[in-house]
Amino acid sequence: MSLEQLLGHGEVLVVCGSGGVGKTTISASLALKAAQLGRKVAVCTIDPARRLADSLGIVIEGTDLVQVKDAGVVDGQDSGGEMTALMLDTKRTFDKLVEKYAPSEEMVQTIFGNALYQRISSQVSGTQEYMALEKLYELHGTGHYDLIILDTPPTRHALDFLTAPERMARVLDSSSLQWILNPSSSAGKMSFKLIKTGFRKVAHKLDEIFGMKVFNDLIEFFRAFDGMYDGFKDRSAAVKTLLQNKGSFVVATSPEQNPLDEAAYLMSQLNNFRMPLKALVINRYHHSVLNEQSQRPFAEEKAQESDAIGRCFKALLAYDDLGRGDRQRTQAALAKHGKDLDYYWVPRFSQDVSDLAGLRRVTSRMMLGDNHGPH
Amino acid sequence: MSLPEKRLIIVGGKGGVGKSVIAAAVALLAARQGKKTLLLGVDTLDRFDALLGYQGEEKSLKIVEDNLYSTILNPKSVANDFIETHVPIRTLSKKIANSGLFKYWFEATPMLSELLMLGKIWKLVTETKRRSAEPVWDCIVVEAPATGHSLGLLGASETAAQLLVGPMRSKADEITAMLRDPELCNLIITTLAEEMPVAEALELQKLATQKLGMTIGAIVINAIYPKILQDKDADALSAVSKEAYPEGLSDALENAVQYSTERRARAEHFRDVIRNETQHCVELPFLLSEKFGREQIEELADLLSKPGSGRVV
Repeated sequence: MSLEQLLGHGEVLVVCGSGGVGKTTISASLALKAAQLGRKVAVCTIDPARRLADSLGIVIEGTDLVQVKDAGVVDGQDSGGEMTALMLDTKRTFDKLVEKYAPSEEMVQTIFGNALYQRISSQVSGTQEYMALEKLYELHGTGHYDLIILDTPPTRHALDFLTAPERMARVLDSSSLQWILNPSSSAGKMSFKLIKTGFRKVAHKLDEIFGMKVFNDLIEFFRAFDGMYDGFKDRSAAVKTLLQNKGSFVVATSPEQNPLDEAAYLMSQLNNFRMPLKALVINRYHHSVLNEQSQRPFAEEKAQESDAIGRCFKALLAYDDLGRGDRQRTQAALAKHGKDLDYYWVPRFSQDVSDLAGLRRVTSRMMLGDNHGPH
Repeated sequence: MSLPEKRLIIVGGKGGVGKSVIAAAVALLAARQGKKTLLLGVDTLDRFDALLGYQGEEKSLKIVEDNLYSTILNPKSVANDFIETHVPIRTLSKKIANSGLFKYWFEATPMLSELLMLGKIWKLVTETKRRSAEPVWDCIVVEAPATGHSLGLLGASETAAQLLVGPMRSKADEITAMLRDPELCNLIITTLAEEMPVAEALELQKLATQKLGMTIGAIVINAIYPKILQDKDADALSAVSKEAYPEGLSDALENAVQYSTERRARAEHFRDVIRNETQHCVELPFLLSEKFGREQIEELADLLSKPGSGRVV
């Protein structure tokens, strides 16, 4: 299925890739295309710098939801599509989840007041990934949108966001913690007792260092989550099913070595997780323009001259070299995992993409597909 | 001014601006000046092997060449260190370290991993040789995590000091003093001559000096697109006959000239923004090469070694 078909008919699209490749811009321009195709699309980003908002030329205060004006208008024609941009509020999303699954209002307040929860719900890496998927699930469930596009957090460990719900659910599984929490537990085995003692020792050391009650907080935290585990587990299974059945993955990269290596790794991991990887977007490539037979040799000869025309040809060669490097690196890095994938190329524009017009430019170039990439 | 002149050099900046490249080039330069140098990545992917053309054993401390070593610090490694210190039985400490619970709990304790990583850097900086008071490391080049994270890291000791008591507090104070000592520690901010990296670099400069009391060694503008064309070259091009050119070349040439001109103009603009904001601006050219490895790092190290480097680009 082509990217255009995905945007026209898909329900959930996840954009992933390493940091700094322009993932947010790619997510936004994909959303723009979907809106141009007449769909109601939400693009959700995790972005403390609010770059997406900036790139759309919108300043938002006090809200996490913005409707992008005229997103569905193409050549003066309104397709009827709508584009909504959301900033993920990790803590608020987590709070909502707690409110949903906690057995009583009192328990909700206990959890909200717990120091460990306050920390985990806002700052721990992994929570952000977890909440991104939770938000995706929540948005999908509202039925307000035809398509939801998720711009994943720039996580250092490529697919943390896929395993985050499971890992979090596992941590919250208090049954596995009884041996730590309950000193009188007759778990019996010597090694368990030793671990318990060791764990307490580390915990008490932390308490000592920070003058806090880490261990007490911990116990309170898990007592509070006791009984909510099943809810969390079901939810995380549902998220996974949604991604496998209704989701499509797009990997974004730039043609530099580091992002390409990460993209290749990401692609193999998506395969392992049986997640439907559908397209690859290579952002900010330099267009390689010269053919080997006649143009390149001609330009090389001309560039020898030290006059104005010689310098112009030098600029041309320099540009062509960049494109060649981009092409070679990209092919070498992705050949193994990207055989049956559709490639989409976005050139490095001479101006930054900083408004809706810029985003439109990205969208139209991207949708040209592989034929318009470097050759 | 020579870049690697302090014992502790912290290289910061936005993700994707080439922090690891600059850190590697500064470290290589320091090693060449005869200093025993450690290149230390904090919570980063280990790209130093590829950049420095080093292939050797997978060890925690790698010997790149004479005088040059590299290693990576991350929350996991310092967490393991921490547990091993307090739970000396190895099988036991391993079990605790590997439990998912511990990971969350460790991350959930405010600033713990940052503080432990800073503590490790402090230890490396203050470590002395067995038989003399001389430091083990003449130069430690730290590749810091991307801006937001590095502010968290570099501010951890100061913030933590407010919570801590006793010996831990004086340790945190010592770490803060190390970071603030202009004779010992410098922050090198790396940026590209582009809008968002420049904005982040200036933000980092402001916060690091005003809030953290650190000294900025330099702002390195990395990968400035070169001035290939003179101002009138485009005019000369449009005046010349292109009849003899192979088909399609005329358009390609025009596009490339336009691209080159615009990209250079933008680079100059953002370079000037930085120049206006700092006395210590180091400018490095965009290397027009297809690959990036040892050869390019050496080229950058050479450029860094020349006083006033880069003003020509």
